[in-house]
Order: sequence, then C-alpha cells, then structure tokens
Amino acid sequence: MAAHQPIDLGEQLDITVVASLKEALSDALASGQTVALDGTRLQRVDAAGVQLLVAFAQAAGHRAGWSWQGGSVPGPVTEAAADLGLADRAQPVGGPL
Amino acid sequence: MSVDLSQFLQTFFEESFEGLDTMESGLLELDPAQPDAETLNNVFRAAHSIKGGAGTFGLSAVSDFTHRMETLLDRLRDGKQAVTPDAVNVLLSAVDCLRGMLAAIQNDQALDADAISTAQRQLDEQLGQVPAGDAVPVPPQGAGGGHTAGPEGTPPRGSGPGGGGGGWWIRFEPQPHLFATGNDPRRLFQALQDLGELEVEADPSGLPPFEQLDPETCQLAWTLRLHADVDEAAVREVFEWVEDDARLEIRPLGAAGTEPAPVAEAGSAVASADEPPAPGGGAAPAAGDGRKPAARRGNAGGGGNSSSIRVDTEKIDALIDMVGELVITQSMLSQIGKEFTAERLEELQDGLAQLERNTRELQENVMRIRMVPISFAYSRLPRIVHDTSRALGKVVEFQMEGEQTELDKTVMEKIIDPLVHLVRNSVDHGIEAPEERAAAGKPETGTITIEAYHKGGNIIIEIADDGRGINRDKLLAKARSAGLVEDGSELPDEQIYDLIFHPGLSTHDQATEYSGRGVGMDVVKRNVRSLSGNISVRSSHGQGTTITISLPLTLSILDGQLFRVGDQTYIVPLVSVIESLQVDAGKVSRVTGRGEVYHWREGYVPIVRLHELFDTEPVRRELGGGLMVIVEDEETYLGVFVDDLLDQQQVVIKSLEANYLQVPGIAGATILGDGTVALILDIAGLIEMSRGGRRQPYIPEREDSDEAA
Repeated sequence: MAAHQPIDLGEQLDITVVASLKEALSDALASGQTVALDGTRLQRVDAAGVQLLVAFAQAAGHRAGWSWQGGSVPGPVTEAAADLGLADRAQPVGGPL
Repeated sequence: MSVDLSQFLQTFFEESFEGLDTMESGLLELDPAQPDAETLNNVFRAAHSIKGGAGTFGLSAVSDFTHRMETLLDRLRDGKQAVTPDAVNVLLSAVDCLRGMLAAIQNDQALDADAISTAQRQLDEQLGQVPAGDAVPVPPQGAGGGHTAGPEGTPPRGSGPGGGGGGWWIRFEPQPHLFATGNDPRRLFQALQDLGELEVEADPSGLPPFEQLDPETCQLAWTLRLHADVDEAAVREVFEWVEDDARLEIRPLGAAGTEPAPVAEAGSAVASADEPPAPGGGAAPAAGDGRKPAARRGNAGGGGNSSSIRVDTEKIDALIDMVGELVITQSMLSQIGKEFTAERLEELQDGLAQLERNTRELQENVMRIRMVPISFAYSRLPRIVHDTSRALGKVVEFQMEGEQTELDKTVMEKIIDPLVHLVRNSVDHGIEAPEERAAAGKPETGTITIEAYHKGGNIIIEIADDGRGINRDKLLAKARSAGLVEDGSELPDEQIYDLIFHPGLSTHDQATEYSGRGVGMDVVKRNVRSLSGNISVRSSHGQGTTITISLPLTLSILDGQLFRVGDQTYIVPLVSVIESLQVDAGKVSRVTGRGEVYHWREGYVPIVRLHELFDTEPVRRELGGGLMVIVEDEETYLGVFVDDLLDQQQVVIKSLEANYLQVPGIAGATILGDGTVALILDIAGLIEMSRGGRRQPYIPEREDSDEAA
C-alpha cells in the first residue's frame, strides 16, 4: 500500500503542538495507509511529544504501519526518547534508532 | 520581601494535632470488612494537610513520615491494598508517632528515633517494601530540621549510600496535569544526568490507546536509577517544582547499586545535607539541632498545650452586642452623673441595675468563649478502649454520650488524663474476659459508657461499665489490714468504695480483682480535686462500676456566699449552700469519733469550726445562738460554724496553689471590692478534714501531678 503524504512535524514536537498533531495523526491512521513522518526540521522534542509518538507508534503498529521519512529517526527524537527511556518505543517496529 | 513563617507555626501545630485526632477517630471508625470510602478520604486529607504544612515549615522529618502514611492511605482508598486490621493498627501507631514528633518539635525536644524507626518499618511492611523485621533507616536528627544524610563514611544504614556511594532509586509518577504546569520530565532527567549516571526506565502501562489519549496530559511514569555520590537533597531539589504534581519516591540504591534498599519514600530516610549526622546514626542529637531559629521562637513557652482557642463567630457577635449595650448604659450613667439631682436617684439606681445586668451578661458571654465541647476530651478515649481491649483480648463496646456538653477549656484539658486513666481501668479491670463473662451469663461484649451532662453549676461525667464490679468485702478487708479502717467498724458502701482512691491502697495486690482500680486512682482523685471537682464510685459486685466526676463549669468565677470567722472572710460556692441557720444548742450532740454533730432535717451533720481547722482566732466559740451554714457536697452535708454572714457576690477565683501552696480545705482565693483577700472554701476538702484528713498544705509536686493517670 502506498504511503500517505508524509506528515511534516515542523520544528517542534512538544506540548504546544501535540493536540493538533494528534488530529493529523488520527486522520492519517484512519486512512488505512502507512503513515510517514517527516522530522527532518525538528529541533525541539519534549516528553509530551515523545508520549504522543509512542502512542501513535503503538496504534500504527497494529494497522498499516508507519515510518520515518528518509528512514532514520531524527536526531532530536532519538535524544529525547533516550532521555525518557522510550528509545525503543518511538520508532517503527524493527526499525533503526 | 520575606515572610516570617514562625508566626504561623503554632497554628500549624494546632491544626496538625486536630488533624491527628481526625485521623485517629477515622481509623477507629474504619471497619476493615467494609471500609468507608469517605472515612478513608478524611483520614487521607488530614495526613495530606499535615504533610503540606510540615513541608512549608521545613519540617522534613514530619513531612517525610507523613508521606509514608499518605502513601499507604492512598493505596487503601484506591483499593490497591486491602484495609486490614493490621494496616489500621499500623496507621494508628503512626498517628501516635507523628503526634510525638510534632510535640517534640513544638517543645524543642529530641525526636524519638526508635519510635520513628519502628513506625516507619511498620508502614513500609504494609507498603510491601520491606520484609517484616528488616531495619529501616532512622532519621537521626534533632527536631524538625529535616533528615540527615550521612556524608561519606557515615551512611544511615550499612549498605545504603546515605548521600554517597550507591546512588538513588527514584520512582516518578507525574499527575496528568504535569505538562500543563510547564514541566517537562525530560528536563528533570537531564538535570539528574548532570548529577551522575542515570538509568531511565519508562513505564507506559498507564498510556491509553492512541484514540483515547489526551496528548496534553502526562500518562507515563518512570523508574530512575541515579548512580551518583550525591545526597538526597540534591536529588529532591531536581524535583522541587513538581513535588505537588507528581508522586515521588526516592530510596537509596542497595549495596549492589541496582536494587533499591528498603523504602524511604518521597522524603525518605535520609535527606537534606545541611545537617551533620548523629554520631553512630542512632541517638537523636539535642533538641532542635539544625532547626530554624524562627521555628524555635514560635514554640517558645508552648509547653505542649495549645494556647489559643477557636471561637464561633456567633459567640463573638454576641460579645460585641453586649459591649454595645454596656456603652449605652455607660453613656446614660455618665449623663445622669453630669446633671445629677436628688430627683434622679431612681434613674441612677435603674442605670446601675442595668450596668450590673450588662456586666453579668458580658461576663457570661466571655465565659462562653472559653467553653468547648467535651468531645475534645472524649476524642482520645476510643483509641484507649481499642488498644487496651485488643491487648487484653477483651471485646468492648464503647459508647460516648453528651459529646456536645460544654465546659471550660482549662477544665477540659486537665480532665483528659484522668478520663483516659479511668476508661483504661474500666477495660483493664472492670470488663471481664469474654469467657468469664459468658460463664457469668453476660454477653461476651462488655460495655463501657461515658456520659457528660450539666447539673446545676457543674458538669457531671459518668464512666460506667458492666464488668465485674468492685468486691466490697475484699476492699474493706484490705483497708482493715492496711489500718485504714478500724476492725469491727462498719462503713457505708460509698465510703468503702471511696477507699479505692486512697493512696495506701492504690498499688497493692494488683492481682486482686479490685486493686487495679486503685492503681493511680489517688492521682486521679487529686487531679479532679485540683479542678475543684469531686469523684465518687458506685459499684455492684458482678454487675459493674460507675465512676462519677463532678466538675465546675469554669474555674474562673463563682457565685459565692461570704461569711466571717474572726478577722477572716471566707467564701463558699453558693451552689453548695443549703441553708443558713441559728444554732440551737439543744440540737448539738457530741459523738465519739465524729466530734460535734447537729441534728438537722431528721439527720445529723458534722459541725466544722473553721478557726480550729485553720488555726485562727474566732470571735465566738459558743455554738448555741451562733450562725451555721449548712453546705453540701455530693450529698454529704456539713455545718460550718461562722461568726457572721456577709453578702452573696460573684468572685473571681485566684489560684492559691499557683500563688502559694495547695491548702487542704481551700479551693482558692479572691480579692474583694475593698481590696482584702478572702479564701474560698473547698467543701469536699472540709468534709475530708472534718473526718480527720490532712490539714497541712501540700508541698507542690507538679511533676507528680502532671503524670497523673
């Protein structure tokens, strides 16, 4: 199944954007297609952002799956997830981190 | 601008002690079979308030300890842990311990490290975090100033880091609103990383499915292991801003650096680094070591007794009304005074009468302010019954009646210990063991009832049990063998039962069935008497015992009858005066062993000559034709022979004991309108003296009295 248009996470994945991002992610999940996230511009990631990502990864894992645009986990996400002990949960199943 | 918190410290103590009472009564109410959620909530809230207040005042020993209680209570109310009798008992012990801690801090005394350690261990066992019997680090600090982390080389426990070495195990469970407060756990963890190597283990078990997630709430929790040679204060400081928004648990890592040592939850066993450890980590150092001077000032002179009183605004409003009336009367009198003529005499007299009414009403209202319900004194009793009956394997139903009966705060505070003693005695020596009761055809559950009510100018407190009663004959035999009662002489029952208050009998033969009631009963009686009260016993062998205490409503003012003997003016409480009469010499008899008696109302009353008792010089010695005041105390009558009867008036009671010595037969003194001092007679004391009781002043033994009962 073809990947949906990547969702651009912008420069921040934090408490200020999680509500609107959740809606976008929900819509993408509802489409039934694999969801791609574009985190190339990300600069700031906080616990709220990682939490949303973890919940999304869990939900998408049960559906059509998801991936990071470009294949690798953005650096800020890696760092934040590692800081929060969630490194292995903020990536697609089997994916690199 | 800094705020001097010390001014609020006393209020904190008062509220905390009230909170402890609430916790205690709530825990006693709690039925483990069917725990009431609201009761648990109440107990939890009380613990939470104490913890919060203690935190505010920097009393970390208290806040840490309370946090454990709160954690256990939280689990109980959330149903995460079953309410068991053991859990309730542990919490009750913790309430006691906390009360002791607060009292120690309030009085600038050292904390009881052993008691705290024991209570903490019991709490931890309940929390499932310490194997039964394992040791828990003791906060080895003086009052209040927070726990002491042993710096290097002096850990509080053998394997624990105590601020160095092993590091810290941290459980961090944010509340959902944590993000909304602007806090980011990631920043906290980064701050911890600055302290040392940090292992972070996220717990996403609370994370709901994506669709149900409110992304702006925090649904994660973390377990952290910080391998750093830092004290707990440094760790805690990291979480300083989120303490109210998260559940935080910090424990020293075990020797291996991986397994957490026995719990020291949120506040833990070791904390701030601003104090040195106690040598050996055991004995608490001198009181108040490390405490803030401000806190200490706040306690000055506290003496453990709360010095303030909460007053209903209604009572204050009534006072203001009274003062308003007084001002009106005063201005009216002032007006009359300015333009006084003989014709206005009646008006002046009316005004003075009005002034008298106003003054009396004002006084009554002021006195009402000091009146508090006796429920304050009752509050400790259910616990006493619970603990004592449990320890003795007895089943006791405790009933309290008249909780709203009011009495003077001072009286109330001083009657608590005697009541505790009497109720404990009732459980211990009154109520029989279940099998003994069953054998006697009684229900296995014994009943103890305490009731308070007003009668005349007194408050009556009755403590009744349906236990085995006092064995009159054994008591009498004991008194005879002790030489207190002459062989062959018979005494009325009430006088025999009164012997249990005799110090000579008080500690003898504890194994006998009545003797237990004698232990310390003399002290109980002394305490009651010091309140100008009386205590009496009724008992029926096999059916139970009732102890009745009669206390004046207030210790400050009484309506008195004044009379004169020689050059001395004496006062008796008006409520005690039955009759004043002119002595008919024909009705005076002399009875061997009882002195002079007067035939009065188909009976005989002993005559007391005050000048003999008090060794003064009377005007008149001849009884016939003289004046006698018949006074009563607890249905015992006495004829007081006087030279002259004077006015009746209200007098303000001044303590003779506080200003001089406790003198038998004298309840206090007052200053009359002309400036002279008059002695207020203690009728019960006079009766005792007339029976050959002590006449010399008591040399003060305040400590003895304080530890009474």
